Amino acid sequence: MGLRIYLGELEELVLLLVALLNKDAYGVSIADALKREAERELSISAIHAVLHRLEEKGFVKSRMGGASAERGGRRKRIFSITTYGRNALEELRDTRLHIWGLIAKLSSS
Amino acid sequence: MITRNEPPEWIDSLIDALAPQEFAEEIKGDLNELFLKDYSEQGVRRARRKYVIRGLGFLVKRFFWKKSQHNNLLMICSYFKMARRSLMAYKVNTVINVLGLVIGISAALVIFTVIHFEKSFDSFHSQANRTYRMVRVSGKNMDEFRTGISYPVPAALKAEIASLRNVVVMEYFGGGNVDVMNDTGNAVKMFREESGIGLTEQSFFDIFDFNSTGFRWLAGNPQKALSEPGSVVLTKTVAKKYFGDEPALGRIVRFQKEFLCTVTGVIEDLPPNTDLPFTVLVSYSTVHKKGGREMNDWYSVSDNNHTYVVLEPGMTQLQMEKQIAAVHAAHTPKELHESRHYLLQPLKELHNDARFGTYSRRTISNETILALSLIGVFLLLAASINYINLATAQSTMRAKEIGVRKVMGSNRKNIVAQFLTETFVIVLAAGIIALMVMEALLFNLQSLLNMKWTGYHFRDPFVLGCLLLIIVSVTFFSGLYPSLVVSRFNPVTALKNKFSTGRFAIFSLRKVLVVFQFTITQVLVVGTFIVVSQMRFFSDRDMGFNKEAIITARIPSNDISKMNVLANQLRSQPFVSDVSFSFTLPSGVNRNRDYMDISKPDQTSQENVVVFEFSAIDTSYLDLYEIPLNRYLLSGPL
Repeated sequence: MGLRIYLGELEELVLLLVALLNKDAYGVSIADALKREAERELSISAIHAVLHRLEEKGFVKSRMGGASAERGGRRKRIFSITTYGRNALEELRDTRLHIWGLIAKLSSS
Repeated sequence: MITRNEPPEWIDSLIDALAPQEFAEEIKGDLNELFLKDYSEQGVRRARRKYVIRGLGFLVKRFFWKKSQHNNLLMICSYFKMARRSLMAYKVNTVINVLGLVIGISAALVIFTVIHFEKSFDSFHSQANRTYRMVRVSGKNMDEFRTGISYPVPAALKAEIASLRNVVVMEYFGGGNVDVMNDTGNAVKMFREESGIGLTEQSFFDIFDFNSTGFRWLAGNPQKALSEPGSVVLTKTVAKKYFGDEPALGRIVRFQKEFLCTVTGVIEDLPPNTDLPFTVLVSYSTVHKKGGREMNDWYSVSDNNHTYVVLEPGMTQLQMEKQIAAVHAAHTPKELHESRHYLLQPLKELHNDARFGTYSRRTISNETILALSLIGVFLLLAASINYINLATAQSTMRAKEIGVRKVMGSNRKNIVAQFLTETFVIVLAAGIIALMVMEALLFNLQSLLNMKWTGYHFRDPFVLGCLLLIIVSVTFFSGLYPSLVVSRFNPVTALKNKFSTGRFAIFSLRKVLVVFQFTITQVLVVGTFIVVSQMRFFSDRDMGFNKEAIITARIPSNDISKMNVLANQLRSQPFVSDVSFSFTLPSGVNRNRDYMDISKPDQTSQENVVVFEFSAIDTSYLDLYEIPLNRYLLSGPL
């Protein structure tokens, strides 16, 4: 990929969680997952802000759906990762693994 | 406070009002979900608190504002465009609505400006909060309120009370004679000033620094201009009047035909909102020499001799009054210091306390200020209610428009916003016109309000702030109800144009408003009648003396031979029937407030002594003014 990917650390984490939660990724569930998997507690408004940024950059897409009584009859915005988002995550991972590999060689020699 | 088991509603409405529409639902949904979780884990109080914190958290996020600002701006532009069109379409209504508001707003603005002016008196001195005027309260029932202080008191206080930071004595003459002298000691110009003349000490300028009023010294030494006897400080205007464009410093003037004074300073004119309206300040020691006879007399009092003190920080009025009483008691016999009390009056109350009076001869009680503000507010209310009634009555004409709007997809919020914008445009126009009307009123009513017009008020931040507040509150107060009414129209009936005002049950609120508005108007009208009859009483009431065809004039000299010549010359005129000389006028105007104790000749105690205000008159005085007396004895010429 020739394009440079601008993805902040928190954005990457949230993007990963969107991928993990698959069809159940929305504000509250992401906040819970973030606490559970990464032990990071963020305000709900911060998570909304990150999701909004990710959508603007095209890493995720969203649709409305899933109203429930506990939400006062209001629908959720369900996020799902785009192909571009998935590619970006994979590329980031590959780059890191590549560099880690180099570090391992250096320290062992 | 009752804590309900629901999330606080105001956060929801806040989000509804501010958030971009596509985000409001998910935000509220997520908040609700979290609330229920917190509620089951931590109880309702904490859940509600967290709900508020989380909800407010969205307000600081950029995405929350990004899209909405764009949308709202577009909407607001369209609101203004529509407002302009509909106001132009109903020109007559617009003019009527604007005029009604102009009257209310301009009257309120004038009233608030006057109140602001009255409240600003002498509030600008740096030490104003610690400055007090000494007052004298005496009499059996402590019911004589005067400001004169015996001559030796100020010096004694200064010497004997350590916590007194500063003291100034002053004697305000009001009117007086000032002659400009030339090098050879002859008067070249003579002036009779009607106000502003007085004696005071150097410390006057330490206590009253007229901070941030543009006050400054134009010439002379600010540290010791009034330290020496025979010094005088003039304001810029007076200096120009006496000496033209020549430098005033070092010139000699003669004060009260007696005291020669050197001009030692020229200061900027004092602001109009001071109760110390000096223009010619002669050093106190010029007239009251150190060690003079009066300086040791603790008994007699000149009601012109006034004292102001500044307390050390932390000192209270009560503590200082006690110390002053102790000093007074140490110097005077028991009967005097038990019947006469020197108390303190805070400088900031000077202007609100009519019992003691001020040099500017104006005081305004706090009750009057309250009454005035109420009138201002009620005038605004009446204007707003008037607008509400006109707007709701006119709204039926707009029924079709509302119908079409609703069919096209406007919701109530849009229509309310639309009508509020229209109201805002009308109130804004009325406010701008009212500003001009206020300016014209303040300029033309100067003598009535006793307020000198010193510059445009629309530059005054207070006036502008007031206007802004008025515009915002009147817009909401008078715009909300009509806009709610029109936004309630059912589009089907609106389009069929089947409207009659009687059909709206809610219009009964209009009746309440009409009654309220009429009540305000009636009260004001009745009040005006009362004032008019009072004024008529003032001018028509028999004063007990004749005031027809009598001319009074001040004479420059009290030399008896000169006065006799004047009287004879006047009497020889065919149109003069009689001439009388007196120290004061029977009307009490310009009375010089001389008092004397009167008791039986052989009496030694202070009991049953009556204090009289006296005035010197001549033999023709009583006949001329036709004042009847029961028994009297007049002796001697003049």
